[in-house]
Amino acid sequence: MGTTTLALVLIVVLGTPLAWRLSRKRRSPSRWVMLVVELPVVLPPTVLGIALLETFGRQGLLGPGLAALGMSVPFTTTAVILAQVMVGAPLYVLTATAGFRAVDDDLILVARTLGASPSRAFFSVAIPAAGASLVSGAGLAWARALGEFGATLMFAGNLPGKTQTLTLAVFQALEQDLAQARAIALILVVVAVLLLLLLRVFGPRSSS
Amino acid sequence: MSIGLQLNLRACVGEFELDVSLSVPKGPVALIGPNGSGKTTLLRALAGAVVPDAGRLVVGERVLVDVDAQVVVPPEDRGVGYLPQGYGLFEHLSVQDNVAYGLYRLSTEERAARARDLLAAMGAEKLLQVRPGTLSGGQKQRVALARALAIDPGLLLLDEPTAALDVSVRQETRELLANQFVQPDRLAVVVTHDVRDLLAWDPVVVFLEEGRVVAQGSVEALSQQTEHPFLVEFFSPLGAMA
Repeated sequence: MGTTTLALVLIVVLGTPLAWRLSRKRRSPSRWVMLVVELPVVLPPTVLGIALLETFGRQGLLGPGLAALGMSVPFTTTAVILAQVMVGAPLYVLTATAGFRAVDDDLILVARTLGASPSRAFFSVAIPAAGASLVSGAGLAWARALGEFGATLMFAGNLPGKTQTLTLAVFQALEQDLAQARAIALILVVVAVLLLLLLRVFGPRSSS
Repeated sequence: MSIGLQLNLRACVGEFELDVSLSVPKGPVALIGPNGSGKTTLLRALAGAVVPDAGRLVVGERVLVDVDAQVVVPPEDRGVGYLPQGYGLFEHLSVQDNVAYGLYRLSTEERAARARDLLAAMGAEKLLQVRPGTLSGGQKQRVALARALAIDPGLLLLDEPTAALDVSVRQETRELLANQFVQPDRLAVVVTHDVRDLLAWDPVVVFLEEGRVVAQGSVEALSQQTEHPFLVEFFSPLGAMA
């Protein structure tokens, strides 16, 4: 769960400004960016795994450059985090974008006329106004990252103590020790229920 | 006649084109016109939300926009108090923190004291710790006005400030605003659909249609124009009041 937390930090730090930009622009370049953001949602996780290998693998797009710097990403903890970011980020960015779109332009303009810089208006007005959506998006992204299987297996492998996530551990335990698989699955169920409860408390209010 | 507001702006907002030339003396200015005529767009352009393609905007002696000289002062440096139609209150902040939002350069004590004074002047001192979500329309209007006045703006922009209020609160709010409009060194531009607002404020009336100024003058002068169906209908309640 440490990797999912790190993945979530990356998703929130990079995804929040992106979602804000996407929410304020209605022109075609933003639509293309949105298409790229949405792509991992519809692609099978195994295809995402291949895409990550094609990008960060030794023969991949960035592989030789990373190797020159003495870095190798596949089958490392970094690979686990990257796979989790890849599958979790779209859910966060889409939810956050919808939340930011609901923020009235006039709220931001009022803040600006009261002397706030664009960044102060963003942090002090836009983020609190879209807070429930951001929390909801973060919860969904974290849950998706926690449950990630296919892309992680292909890109990071299933190395106990190194790249094995709880989800992969359930898969491995199923073949060796059913009781252990049940125990890990139970942990995941408890985490999921806690997450849903937290989202009920801090997420967007339902109309009912 | 001291010039209060001089503008000559051209801007495109989506499909809508705003092309407005205006020169008005100090005092309140009322923008009237049918829905979609560009009143709110002009107000937002004055606040700095719409960057014009061409033109110039001078408030008092201060140049806020001069496209040829590549001058476009951002909203935070314009000294503008803006009240949008929905009041624009920050729901996550208390009334006191809303009013103190623009006073971040002052100390915490000074901010709190100034917010209290402003709310007291609006008759809303009992609302200090209340969240805006629980306020009535009239209370929200007072809080939003106190917040806009907190920065001592040279230009006050109000979008239909009396439209969403109960009849009982409307006249009270008109009088409250009239007191602000007569302050020295303050210009005010108000969008309104209510002829009674004009009677209370006696502003220079600017009639907009399709993003352009069609007519400009006193309430009396525009109420006597019969060639524009909108003006005839707008001023028709005057006959009933007479």
